[in-house]
Amino acid sequence: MRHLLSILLLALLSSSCFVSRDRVNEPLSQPLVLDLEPGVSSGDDVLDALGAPADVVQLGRRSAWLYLFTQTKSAAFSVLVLTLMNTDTRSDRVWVFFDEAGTLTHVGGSFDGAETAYDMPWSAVE
Amino acid sequence: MGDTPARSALLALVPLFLSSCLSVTWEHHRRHAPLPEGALEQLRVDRSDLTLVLAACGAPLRVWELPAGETAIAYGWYRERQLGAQISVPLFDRFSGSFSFDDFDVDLFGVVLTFDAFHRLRRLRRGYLRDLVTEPARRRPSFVATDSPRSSQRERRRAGSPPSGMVAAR
Repeated sequence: MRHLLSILLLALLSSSCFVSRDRVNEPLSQPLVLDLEPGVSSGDDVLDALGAPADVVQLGRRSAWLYLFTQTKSAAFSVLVLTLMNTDTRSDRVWVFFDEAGTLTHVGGSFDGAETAYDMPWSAVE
Repeated sequence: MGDTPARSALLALVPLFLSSCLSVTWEHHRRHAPLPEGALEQLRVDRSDLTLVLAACGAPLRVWELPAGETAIAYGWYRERQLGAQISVPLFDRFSGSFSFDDFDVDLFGVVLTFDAFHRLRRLRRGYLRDLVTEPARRRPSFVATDSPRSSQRERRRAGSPPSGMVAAR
């Protein structure tokens, strides 16, 4: 019994855990993106609504801007030689496409950043 | 007295366990979400356009330019669950490792869609993005002549600032 208690105490003292969250940029606002109108909105309208883009891609004489928010949540637990670890990374992304005259032609958005979760490896994170 | 061998064995095992020679890991890593179910089935090469693709699939991870006025976009996701054990015996000096979380450095599975100059879907390929995306992540900008109305206005405002009549482009 004493040995069992010793082993349990050793395991307890040897265990460690951590959780961490890593965020890049600020979450994107879906209503602001929905206000943008292809064929009507200009680059200035997009700048007013969403601010400075994270990336600008030149497509010939057209261009596309990326707005990005990324969130990563990590959780780990370690005892003696066993380590359990989970990382989950999701993002809010918005791409806006402009024609040669700088008028908005297409908008695409994905808003998954808020769904990032802390979890353990056996969990079914969807 | 009878406990002595067991105690000795336990004491002998503890340093082994506490050293970093042996490790057992159970990990789950996930990066980005797969495309919505049925999204790709809605798309038809030569018929679907960029508007439909963005509505069905959301925002891509990456957009880049191809020759002949074509544009490519990529969607990708990664999910791995693994159980592993490792025994290591340090014989030489330690080395430093590094791990990058750049989107295309990890084994992202996904699709790459190619559009013509009129935003019409021309090709759809599935697989690992590291195999499908052969272009470098970023290219150094170069300058090309342009005569679009908007850029001409910009250039007039910048009159006198070199290089006149040019805008940055890939």
